[in-house]
Amino acid sequence: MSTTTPLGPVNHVDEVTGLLYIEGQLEQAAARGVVAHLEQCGHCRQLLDTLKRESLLLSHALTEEDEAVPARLLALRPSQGLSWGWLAVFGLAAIGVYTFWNFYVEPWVANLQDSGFGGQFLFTWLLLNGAFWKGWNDMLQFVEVGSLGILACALLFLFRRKLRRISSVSVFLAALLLVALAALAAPPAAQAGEFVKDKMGYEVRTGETLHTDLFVVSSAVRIEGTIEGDLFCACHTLTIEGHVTGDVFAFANTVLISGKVDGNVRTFNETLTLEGDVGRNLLSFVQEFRTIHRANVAGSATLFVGNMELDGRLGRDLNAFLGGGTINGPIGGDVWIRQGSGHHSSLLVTPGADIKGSFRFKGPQRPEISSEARLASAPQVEIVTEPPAYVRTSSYRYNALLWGAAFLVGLVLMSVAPGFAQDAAREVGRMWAPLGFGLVTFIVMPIAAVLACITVVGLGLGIPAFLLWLFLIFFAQIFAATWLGEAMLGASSGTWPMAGRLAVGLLVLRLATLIPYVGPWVRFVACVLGMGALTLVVYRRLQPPAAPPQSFSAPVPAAPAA
Amino acid sequence: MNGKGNPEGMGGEELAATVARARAGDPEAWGDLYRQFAAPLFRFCRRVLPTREDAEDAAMDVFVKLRSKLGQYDPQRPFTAWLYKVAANHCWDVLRRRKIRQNLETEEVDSLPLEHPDPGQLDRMITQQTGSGVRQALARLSDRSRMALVLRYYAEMSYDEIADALGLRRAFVGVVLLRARHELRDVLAKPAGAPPETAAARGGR
Repeated sequence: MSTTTPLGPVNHVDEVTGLLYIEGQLEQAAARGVVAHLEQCGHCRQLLDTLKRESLLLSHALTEEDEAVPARLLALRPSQGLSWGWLAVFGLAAIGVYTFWNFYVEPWVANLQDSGFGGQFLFTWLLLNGAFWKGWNDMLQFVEVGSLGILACALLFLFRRKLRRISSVSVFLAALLLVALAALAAPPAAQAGEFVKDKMGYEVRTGETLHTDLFVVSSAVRIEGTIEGDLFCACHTLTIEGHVTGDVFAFANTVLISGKVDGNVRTFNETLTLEGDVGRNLLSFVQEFRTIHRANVAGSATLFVGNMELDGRLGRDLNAFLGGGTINGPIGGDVWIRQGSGHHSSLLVTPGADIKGSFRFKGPQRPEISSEARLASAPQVEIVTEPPAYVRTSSYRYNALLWGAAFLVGLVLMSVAPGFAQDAAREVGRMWAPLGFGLVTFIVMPIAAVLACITVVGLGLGIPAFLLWLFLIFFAQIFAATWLGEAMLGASSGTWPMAGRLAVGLLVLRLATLIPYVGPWVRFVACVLGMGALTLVVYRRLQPPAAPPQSFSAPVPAAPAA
Repeated sequence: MNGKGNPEGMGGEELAATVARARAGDPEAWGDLYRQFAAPLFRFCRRVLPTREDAEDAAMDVFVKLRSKLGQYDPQRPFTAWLYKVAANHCWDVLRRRKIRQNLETEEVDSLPLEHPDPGQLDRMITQQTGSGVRQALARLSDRSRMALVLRYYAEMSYDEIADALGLRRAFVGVVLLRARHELRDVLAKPAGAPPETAAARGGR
């Protein structure tokens, strides 16, 4: 723009140049020109002053704290989003689970279904559909409804932006509402049984009848009378000479059944002797299993057994993982036997055996089948000589699965509690302290858990403690492996560098456990060290802090620019 | 550059050290940075985006991006400039996704004439304005103009940094800023209900 003065026309500073000048963006020559012009031009001085005031107004308006920062933002430290790394990990885990299911679980389920256990889900069949507690089905329903509620909340959270500002409070309220609805929808509590705890021994005498489920914890339990319900028993010796109309579920050293059980029998014990009748199926994890000639199991038998003497009658199939034994009685269905590796006696099928279905055997030692034994079809025998673990492909596959599982758990742990994971890994490096603490935890914790289970009240503490101990064994390797990785690759900080070290450490640990003779010791030492480190870190964290933690305060923005 | 997010009590060296630790993967250092910049970054997003909720979400997302991109940050450059550049790009994407971003090509910027203001009249108008009024007027500007003003007068970015953030040639930054001021003056001079006279509209005259 130009104006005319008595001395002639004057070229004023244009607005862009003026702005660049007040903001210090003009080159030196141009700036000198502006300065020279400003000395003689009041109009332009006023314009530049006004532009400066406008800049101040803008700075003030933009930096003024007119509204509070959302509390959610101040309280959160946002974690990294679902990265490709995580997607890959979850993808691999899904493949692992799929493989595990297809190659290990499903064949077993198929076998069980073939054996007449019905088409129910394996775990339902094992735990939820039996003597343990009649309320399991209700509980299962409750869990299913609850899971649906949680899933719904997760979806609400994920799509919260689409739904326009569903706050965390409303999500929480929705979750509460759903859980409350689930609780209302759940059936009433299961029928309670009779609980008995008696150190000296417990007995249901001849002629005596209990019209309820019986939960008993004692040194010796003897049932001569009748129980019209299920029997749940944790004891040293269980003897059933009478009648149980429901199922029997027994944790015991020795179990003798010479009476009658109308339902299923499920035992976890050292010795099981069957002289009477079992109306339905038998499932047993047992070292010694024996049935005499007059014993009768109407359904199938599934056994995880060291040695088996089967003289009695079995109505349907026999599925067994066993070391060795004898089959000397009638079996109404198929026989499927998998013999474990190791030094076992062979399986004898004597002249007394009468197998109506097929006979399939897989194991390292050929079974001795008497020519007088009656078999419905030619036996299918597969002899498997197991090579050492380090040359077996399946061993590597199995180890790869375990490695993946441990890595996945480790990653989750590092993301959820990075400080804790790092402290525990570093604690492993102190060697003697974690070794000592670890040994104590490793030995004392299961003993204490078992002792707690002696009392009915203690069951609630003992069983979780035992489960926790099992979890600790698994977690221990993660800390030991992280330390090992750091020892090899150098110290790290942050989740991903630590995850890399965990991966390497786990790999080395897994490979070391494949070495003959040395492997089990490596596994044991890693477990003890990790467990000790975990114990130490938890112990330290439970101690009161030496100084109060630094309190959080919101940052105060700087004053508006002048 | 002395950005608004540069915290009190954390000097340049301390900030650089904290950033270095965060880049090395130290979660505590990242926590310090988060606490330090959460509020300034929210306010930045608040000035650029239409609603408080959008700003809140954007601030959260920007922090997630910052953390994942921390490895790409060049320590030779000011941290706050990099931070606001990431934030600006994110907000720009948010606006574009909403299809409410108005594009203003640089050629258009270059060619449009700007009316020379009367200093006295402009001075009177500035004197009458309050911070609140200016903020309300800012919300009615075109996205690019609002973004340019926020980058310059909130984040205190240099012209080079603004050019980088907005994808402009440096020579155009002054023009974009001046045009934004003119747009703001137009909005301030008109009642709240009247539509703003955007640069594009003026160009069509």
